[in-house]
Amino acid sequence: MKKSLLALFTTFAILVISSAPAFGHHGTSAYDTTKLTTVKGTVTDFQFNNPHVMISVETRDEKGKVETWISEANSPNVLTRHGWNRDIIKIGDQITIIGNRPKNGAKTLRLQKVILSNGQELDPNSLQD
Amino acid sequence: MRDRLIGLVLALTATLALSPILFAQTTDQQGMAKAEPAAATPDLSGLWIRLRDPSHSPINLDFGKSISPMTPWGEAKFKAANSVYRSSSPSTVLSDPIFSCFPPGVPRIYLLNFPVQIVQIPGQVIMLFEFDHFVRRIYTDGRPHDKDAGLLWMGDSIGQWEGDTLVADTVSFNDKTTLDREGYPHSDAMHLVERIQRVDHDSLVIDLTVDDPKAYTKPWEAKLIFQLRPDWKIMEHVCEDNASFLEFNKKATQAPKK
Repeated sequence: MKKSLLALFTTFAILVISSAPAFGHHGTSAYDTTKLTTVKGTVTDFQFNNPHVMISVETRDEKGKVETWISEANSPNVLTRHGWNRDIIKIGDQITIIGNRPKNGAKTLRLQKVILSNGQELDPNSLQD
Repeated sequence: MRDRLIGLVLALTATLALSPILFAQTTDQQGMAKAEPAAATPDLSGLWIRLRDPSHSPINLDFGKSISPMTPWGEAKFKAANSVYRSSSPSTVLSDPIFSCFPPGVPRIYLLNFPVQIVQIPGQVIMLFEFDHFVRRIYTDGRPHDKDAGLLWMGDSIGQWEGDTLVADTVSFNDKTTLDREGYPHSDAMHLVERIQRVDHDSLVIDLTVDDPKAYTKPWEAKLIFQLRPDWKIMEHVCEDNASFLEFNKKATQAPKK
């Protein structure tokens, strides 16, 4: 139990802060929208496709075990109008993904923020305003 | 004879003297006749994106407090829908037909965060939605509702101009869609009236009235405001290209491993 907790905290920090519900094609009820999970790792897949942009990030726990997190952003149409493009993230990039994790504990995130290796922050929801 | 000749000359002179005026009047009438129809048809065309209403929820994909109390039938349908969007909902089942790429219906399609291009041709106002490229035609040529058609996802729309406002009247909806992502229902008796007005060059307002006595205890109204985005274009959007999303959703919603 102690080891698994350590592994959890060494590879990513779980920030408990309140957050607005994310925009999404699908529902929020499966997600814990009161907590944000932060994962820093290497991009293994970036799908800049409809209906939702998907980013996969690989990270390792303290034992070197590989974990893959899949994260979901808004539609590429919406994101393109707010500064994203299909080359903004590349496989191999070191990025940080921050978002809501599902209540079932799966390693997936509904994105709330993306931080690129150069420190640039991207809004993965980009609600129109 | 002499008097008759003088009379004829006077009459001819008068006719020739007045002819430019008569000619000009005829020309003006023809000109006005040509100009009037163009001036009488307001121009709603352009690429529009709905603005968020701060009085609604942060995500603003719902009609919030605009909605009237539901009838028992409406309440039952609302509970059965058990929308995954409701934070109180325990459901993770994607029962909403929008997840299977069926049309969102009207007015729900306005709530999605994608623009709509309005195109006008004689007798039709056409809405080209970016979301999955749904097309909606509002016939303004005076035809009645199509009573022969079955019940439709996007309804049967006719419209008429009242001054600078297009009054669109839509019926013949099926009851498979919800009015917003919270899952508020409607029945096949829904009568939707939209008053669509370009209040200034860059702003479009749709005042809609939902009259559905089967689902709601009284008609209710909502106002949607759109902003012109001449710098945008309608981009490709393909709902069906969602295999990775469905896989993602499956991971996030399946029961935890024990």
